[in-house]
Amino acid sequence: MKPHYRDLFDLTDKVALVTGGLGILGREFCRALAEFGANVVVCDLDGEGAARYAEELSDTTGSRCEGYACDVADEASVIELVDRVVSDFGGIDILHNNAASKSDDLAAFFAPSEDYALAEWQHIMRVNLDGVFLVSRTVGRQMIAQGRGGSIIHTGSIYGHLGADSRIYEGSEYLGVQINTPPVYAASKAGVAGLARYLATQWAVHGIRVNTLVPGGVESGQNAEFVKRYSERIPLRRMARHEDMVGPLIYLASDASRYVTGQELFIDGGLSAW
Amino acid sequence: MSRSLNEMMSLKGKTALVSGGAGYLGTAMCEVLAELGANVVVASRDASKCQSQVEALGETGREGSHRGIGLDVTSEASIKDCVQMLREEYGGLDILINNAWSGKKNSWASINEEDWYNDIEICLNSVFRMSKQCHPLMVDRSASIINIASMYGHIAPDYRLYDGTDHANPPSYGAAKAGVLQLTRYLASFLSPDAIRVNAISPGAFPHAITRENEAFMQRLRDKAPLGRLGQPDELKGALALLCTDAGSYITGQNICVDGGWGVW
Repeated sequence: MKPHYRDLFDLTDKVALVTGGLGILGREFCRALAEFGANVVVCDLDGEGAARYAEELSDTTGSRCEGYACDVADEASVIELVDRVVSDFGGIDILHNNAASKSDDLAAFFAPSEDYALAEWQHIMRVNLDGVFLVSRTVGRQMIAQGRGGSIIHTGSIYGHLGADSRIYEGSEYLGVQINTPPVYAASKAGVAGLARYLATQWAVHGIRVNTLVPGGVESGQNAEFVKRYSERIPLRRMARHEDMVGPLIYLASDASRYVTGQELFIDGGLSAW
Repeated sequence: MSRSLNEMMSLKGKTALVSGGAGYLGTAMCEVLAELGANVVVASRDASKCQSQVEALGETGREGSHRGIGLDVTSEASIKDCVQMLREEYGGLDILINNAWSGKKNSWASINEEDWYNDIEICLNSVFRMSKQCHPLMVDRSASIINIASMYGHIAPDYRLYDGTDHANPPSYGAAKAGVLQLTRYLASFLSPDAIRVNAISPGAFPHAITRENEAFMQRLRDKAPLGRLGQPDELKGALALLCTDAGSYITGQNICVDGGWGVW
């Protein structure tokens, strides 16, 4: 037990691995973990970008951060990543499964459910769900071998829990492209929450906690019409900001949540409450 | 050959009690129970309304030995009289529908302690009292208790819906209904040794005629449900038939939402 309650959130000397570390939220997650003292492995498809961002984090936070390339949908790539982290850092204490797929083909990605292509579905699922399984399995095996427990956090989504109100997507754009929320995204995010509950019970005996962070819609370049419509549906009357996710992540990653496992923590401005 | 669904859904020879049975939703509940062959006991504070309801059930040619009875769910003595009648006239009880509700209109600003206790008394304490008193009549006969909860027992009202109306949903209502939902799960566990199943139905927006006169308000309610419309009382019949017959004989401790999808987005 830590001597002071204010240290409950302290992550000094912990090793944290964040997949999707260069994403909109991923960058904030990596920075927060490093600021709270963890040595952070920024993992992304873009290894060079990850290395650059990790160097920046090391300079600004004083924690040891490294950026490694990894394709979470590729088993060999995941095994290589975990071996490398263990070799360089001596173990893993915190895993944040945050990677989710972007699509190269926005027309296919945003296609209506009745026309959704199996290939697009499988492409997204390979990252959003298979990837979470692969990294969890490989890191979980390592955590069990270490014998000192650990915390695994999945990034879920409010759409893994609630259906979307398609009316708010009419006339809505993201970076100039007509948007909606695809069925595969909802299904994959419901899947990661289910996997978290499963692993939470199965690995509890090893002291490994597994929880899901459930963000509501994050403002990140949608047009004003969408932001307005989305905000009207939210009790707190605004979309989420990147930084809204950071406190809940640190809570789940640290000893502050040492008796919490198998949970979904909603950061949705109250959307699911009404 | 397994039983046909028709056989499983028959309530012939079964006795059902519906509290608030002469009300807007209670009427549809009594109808479906009678349609499935049950002897229906229509219970509410207004015995004459119950009697009219029984006559209406008879006129539609639904067989079964129906009966109206005055019942005040806030009075233990009244409930005991009802239980005694059930024991003497029907020899037990197979289906208990805890449906009675008559809260006061209030907002968070207007509600006082007295109204809060009144609503909790009628909406939550009555379910305890009715279930407690009826339990001995229901043992070891594959009986079923159905508690009528509400979507507001698990999600909050969007206060903007009620702007400019005098229909503000009182805080006591959702709190009581949430209590009903948890009592449902509790009883599903603790009454299971007596082969009693206990489930809940959570209706969405089923406004009364007087409330439906406010068209702007109605439109806001319709817009809140993915199905884009209000619920009709007969749309509760299916869920009720499932839960109170052998068609739902392996279902207990559950809450079926009949809300046009209100709660899913």
